[in-house]
Amino acid sequence: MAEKTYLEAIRDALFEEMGRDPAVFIMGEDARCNFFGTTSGIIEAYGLDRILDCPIAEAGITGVAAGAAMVGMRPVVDFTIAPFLYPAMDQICSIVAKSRYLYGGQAKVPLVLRANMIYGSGGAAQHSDRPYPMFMHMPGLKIMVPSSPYEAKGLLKTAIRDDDPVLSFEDANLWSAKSEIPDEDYTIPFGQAALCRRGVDCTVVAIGAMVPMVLEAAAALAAEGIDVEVIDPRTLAPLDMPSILESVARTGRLVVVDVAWERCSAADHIAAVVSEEGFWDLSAPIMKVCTENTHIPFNTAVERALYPSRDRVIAAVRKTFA
Amino acid sequence: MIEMVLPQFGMGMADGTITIWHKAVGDAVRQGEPLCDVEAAKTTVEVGAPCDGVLLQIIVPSGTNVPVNTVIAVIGSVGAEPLPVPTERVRAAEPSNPAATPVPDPAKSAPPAPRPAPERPGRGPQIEPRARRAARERGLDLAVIQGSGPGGRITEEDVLRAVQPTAPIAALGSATPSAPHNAAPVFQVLRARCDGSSLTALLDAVAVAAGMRISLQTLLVKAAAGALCEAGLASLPVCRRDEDGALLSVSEPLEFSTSALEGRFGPAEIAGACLVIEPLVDGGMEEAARFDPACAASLSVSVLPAGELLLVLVVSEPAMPYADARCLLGALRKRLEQPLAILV
Repeated sequence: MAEKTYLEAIRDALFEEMGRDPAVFIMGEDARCNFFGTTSGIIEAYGLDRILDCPIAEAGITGVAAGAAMVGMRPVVDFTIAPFLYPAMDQICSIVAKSRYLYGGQAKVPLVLRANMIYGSGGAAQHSDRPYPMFMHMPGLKIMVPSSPYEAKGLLKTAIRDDDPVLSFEDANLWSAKSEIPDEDYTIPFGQAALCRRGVDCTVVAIGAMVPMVLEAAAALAAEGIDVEVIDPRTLAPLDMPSILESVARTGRLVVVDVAWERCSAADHIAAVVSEEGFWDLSAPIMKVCTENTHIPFNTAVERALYPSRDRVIAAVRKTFA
Repeated sequence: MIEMVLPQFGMGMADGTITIWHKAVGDAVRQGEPLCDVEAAKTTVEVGAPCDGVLLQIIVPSGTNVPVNTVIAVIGSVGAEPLPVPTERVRAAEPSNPAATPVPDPAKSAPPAPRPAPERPGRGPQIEPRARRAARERGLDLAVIQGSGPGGRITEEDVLRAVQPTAPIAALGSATPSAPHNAAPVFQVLRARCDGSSLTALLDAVAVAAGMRISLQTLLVKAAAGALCEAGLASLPVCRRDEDGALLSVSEPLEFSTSALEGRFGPAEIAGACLVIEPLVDGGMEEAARFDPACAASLSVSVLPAGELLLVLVVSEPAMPYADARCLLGALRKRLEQPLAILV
């Protein structure tokens, strides 16, 4: 076991998978200069052919990656930050998501698109996006939202080995978080939620970087006699609804914490499914704690007030008892 | 006559202050009509009258803080005599520890005192989906269940605690099974003393011979089951209530020896009237009685000085008519005075 940061764990996953499978390669803007520290040592170990710098042309990058994937390569595309996915939407939605289906399985698209979500630090309106719900809507895409270094490494390895396209939304607020990482190779399966804290009074589903914040809220709530159960879905597509429904069947109460904008968020979807499939288990309306439906301002004090916080989570859980 | 107690709005609530009485002694009241306001944990909740009737006595005046389950008022039918003001009483076996848990889930911890629910004029109390399901599965009518959740919301626990009153007796002719059950339950209290010396001697003898102590309550369950058979009420289930207020029962109590019964009690899932054996009256109290429209009958037993037992049987009509109650009490008394009859 060794303690690693989120960035180090991602780097290790990339490094190890490149060693395991020669079809794996990295491409992206400023990939070689190791802009975020996720490609340390890769050039030295594997050479320049396995890590490609690309121009500022996100649609082109995606199209090239899709083509490479269809002929047998396994590209891992570094999109730098999440809003840079937008220029590539047509490639992602029309080609990457649909080709396996359109070609009747004759082609597959085993690529990984990695996007960092940087927010809360004055990135302002265009560079603070958390857009994973948009991609949940598109059939044919898998989505991972790792909440810790341990999760990041295990999920990214699964993503790289998966024959279908995977979007990895990595939260920059977790970059310096640390976990104990096993020395041996391990993967975390998609579609299997993690039970972060067992409880009986209320189920709280926390997405990505919301997990550590929700665990803090859970500790505070425990002190006032409310024992919450915390679930990390780990992947939003496939989404482990059976685990969430089973938890709500026991607790009768649900709060979903999602840093995406509230409207049509992952929280919205989870709440709707539980409203339908778990209705009779409920003792209270389902609460969501999300980002306010508005643009992100440059002023960080105003910005941070828009995102979910420990206090907002505590208030939401208390509200389920009102 | 109904003794109205200070309700518990949330499991963390231990006491409350009556801030205002909306009605005066002698006023008519209707079920659900606001009767008083109660303040607890910085929130004020309007408490409705538990039944139709006349407010006979205000026992706890406004401005007074009392523990949960203290009797605060008495409501009776028109023309009933007011009670003499009793000393402050807490109903036996209600949870006094805020961290204690009610039936049916012993693992749940205490959430904070809730905020009042929004006004719902003409719409009745809120009913949580879990409660609706529980009522549907048990064939219970939600209209007769008292809600203990915020603002009188009916919770799953309320449904599991409640039972459906039996249909009005057909022989009366005037009531049909579909008639709404709006009338206040009528309670009868029957008291009997009996000589408990044979019973004590038997329990002591069993303890010596078998090396295990059978609790008086367990023996009472067996005795009650036999007494019900003798009184022609064999279909009425027997439960006992433990110190935390949880209802426990065992199916077919007559099938098991009394010592075997001890280990067999589990959470009661009674969907109908039953006879409840209350916890033994002790702690310096001479007598206690429980008026609960959810039970057909409630038996409180106290052990008096000189080995005498006082049996107080509260029955609610029409679930248990007075005549049946008399037979039951007589059969029970006989079994307690000649306890070998329990073992048969």
